[in-house]
Amino acid sequence: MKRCLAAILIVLTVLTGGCWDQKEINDLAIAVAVASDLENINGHDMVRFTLQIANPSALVPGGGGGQGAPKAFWTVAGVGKTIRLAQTEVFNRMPKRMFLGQNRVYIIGEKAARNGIVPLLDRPLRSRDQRESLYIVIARGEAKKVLELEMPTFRATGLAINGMLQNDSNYNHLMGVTLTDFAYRLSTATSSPIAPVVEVVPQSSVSVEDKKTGESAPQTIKLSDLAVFSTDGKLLGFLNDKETDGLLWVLNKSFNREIAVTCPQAGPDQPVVLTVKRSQCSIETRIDKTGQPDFIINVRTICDISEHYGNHLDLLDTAYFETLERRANTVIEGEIRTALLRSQTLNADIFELGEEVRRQHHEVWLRILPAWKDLYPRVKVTIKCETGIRHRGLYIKPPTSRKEGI
Amino acid sequence: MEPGKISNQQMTFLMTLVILSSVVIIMPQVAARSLENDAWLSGALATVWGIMVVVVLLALGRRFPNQTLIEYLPLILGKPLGKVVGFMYTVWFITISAFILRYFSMFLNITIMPNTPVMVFSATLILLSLYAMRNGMESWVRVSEMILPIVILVMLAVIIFSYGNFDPRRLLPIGEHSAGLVIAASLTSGSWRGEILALTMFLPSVKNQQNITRNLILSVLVVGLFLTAAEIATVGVFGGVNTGSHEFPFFSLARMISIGSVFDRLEILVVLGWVLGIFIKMCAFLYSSIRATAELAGFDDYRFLIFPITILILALSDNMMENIAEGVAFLSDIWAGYGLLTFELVIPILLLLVAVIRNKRTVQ
Repeated sequence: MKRCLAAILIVLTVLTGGCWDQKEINDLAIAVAVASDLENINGHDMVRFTLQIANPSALVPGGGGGQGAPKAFWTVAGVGKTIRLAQTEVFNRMPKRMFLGQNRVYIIGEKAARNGIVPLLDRPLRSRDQRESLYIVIARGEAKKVLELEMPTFRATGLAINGMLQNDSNYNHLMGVTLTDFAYRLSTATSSPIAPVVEVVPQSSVSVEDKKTGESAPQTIKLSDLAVFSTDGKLLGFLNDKETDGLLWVLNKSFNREIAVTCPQAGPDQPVVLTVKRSQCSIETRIDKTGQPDFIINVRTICDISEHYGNHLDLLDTAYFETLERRANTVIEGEIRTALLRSQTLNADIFELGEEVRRQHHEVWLRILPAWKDLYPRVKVTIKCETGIRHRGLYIKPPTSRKEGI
Repeated sequence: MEPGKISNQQMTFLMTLVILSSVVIIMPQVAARSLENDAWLSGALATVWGIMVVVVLLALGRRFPNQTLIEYLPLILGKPLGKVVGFMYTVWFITISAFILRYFSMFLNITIMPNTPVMVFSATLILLSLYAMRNGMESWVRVSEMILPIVILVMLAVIIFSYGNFDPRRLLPIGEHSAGLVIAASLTSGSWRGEILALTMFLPSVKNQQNITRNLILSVLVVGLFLTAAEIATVGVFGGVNTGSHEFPFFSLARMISIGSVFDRLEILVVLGWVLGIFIKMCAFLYSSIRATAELAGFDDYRFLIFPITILILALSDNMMENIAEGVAFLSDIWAGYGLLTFELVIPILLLLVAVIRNKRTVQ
């Protein structure tokens, strides 16, 4: 009996190498980015779902390039009432099975975002083939355009966007937002979701080679700023670069970014550039006598001096550092204030101030929750900044001729 | 009845696996749906219920050494009533076995292999358990010593590596929900801890019963620690409301992990830990069902019952629930009443009271 059973099992392991769900890599169309747009067809709102499908052999370094090289990717789109229905339209245009396991970027067109983003998020959350660590990106104009663009050298835009968002701390006014974080903000009663913005722009510098081959001016993508949504997931507006930087201070996402401070001696023509090395923000909630909340935003920052030139030689003077620190405080406070004013104009609680009331004064929160929409635009916020300057780099004085008296 | 003997440590490891295996996967969702960001409070509080169950069952066990629950029930309650309650416990073991089997198969079907029929997973696991049963209790209980470290390592890895997405502010404010809600949710959570009821079927086989109370309480505490940590991690990553929206929050948590693009896609580890743990849990409940049936009917040997009971459980599991929603509804609405409030805690307490009042114990 035992020997018979063992024999059957051994034969089975040989014969059944896989299972019902086995997939071979050759049979897969590997998507590196997907996009959803709103399309109006015969008066009906439809979803246009676009996939950017990588050509694995063209992505290997050294494999591509030259004349007749395989394209780095191809795009395919389908239209349907919902995302899943649009996907079924895509299937009929693809010889291989759609594989979203490597997809890290989900781009949503501006029109679709204004119409409401929630219906577009259900499929990536529910399906088991995509991850929740997916980046949400909002496109100015059509999202499809971003995926159709081929960048020189980096080829697929989806991979480029993913790379930039993974290293978002190396960029000014840029912050990666995952599907989880976006969904978390949607799940709260008061917080407004945010997402980075991508747009198609003309290349800022064009090589002679590109001029020869291209008929029109070559285009590329630019990833910056943030889109702001209402609590029910409708796009309200965009923050500009300064407002985005202001928000990043409060969200503890400021790292390795630059702030420009007016030089105390030479004025704004010779700004001193500081690099943020560490930044910590906490929000304190207080309830005043009338029972209304007000907030204190504390930002503590450590910076290095990364650029300092001109005809003043004060980096030898330690008191001068304090002047710079004070000026840095003013700049940071100004950025946060701008972001705050913009968010109050949009009436979108992007700082999670409402959630802070809930966390710190739960009874008050229960009382003010119904009126939060009216309360937020005139809520009082005090901003306190504390900056410390640490290093000045490898070079102390700019290489100008010595002045008299030194 | 049972010639096999197990050591004190094997018993502890076995019971830890029995109560740890499914709770971490399922409970965060059930707890977060009613308690949102306070979910972990119920997980921590349930430890109290678990310890109570262990203390009561071991007090009963000390009164009737060398006898299982089904054997000493008639001694406490008298023969007719004892047999009726014994029958109820036998049915309890069988239904829980079938439920575990079905839930396990549905989990695998939903998470990693959507095209494979659910029955394939059930049949594979039940065949494996059948093989384990036929080799005697000693052999598969020994396997639990090997499996528990793997399960614990997997869970630790997932909990620790989720720090990248973890935001402690999502847990605040602590104690937002009323104490009544927390206690109600802790009853559900505690019913998993109460599955340690299976210890009554193994206790007579334990060779050296020194420190067994301490060890089993320790195992309840360890499970409480892991469940609380898992609930803190899921809520800290997804937020309270969204944790309740995930079918398997802990599995989704593992999907989020990406450490420097090297440690990626750890969810298959969760599945590995789940399959290994559920195998032992399945064996423990299958063994309890078989032995309870044999003792209820008064047979001297349980071996000839292995095959029929196994097939019964497989058939029952296939008819138990149509979809996972029914399973989750059972867990959140009925499980506390079917577990802690009756079979796991309340009836054993009553049994202990009756035994003390009627001064029943086996004479040695």
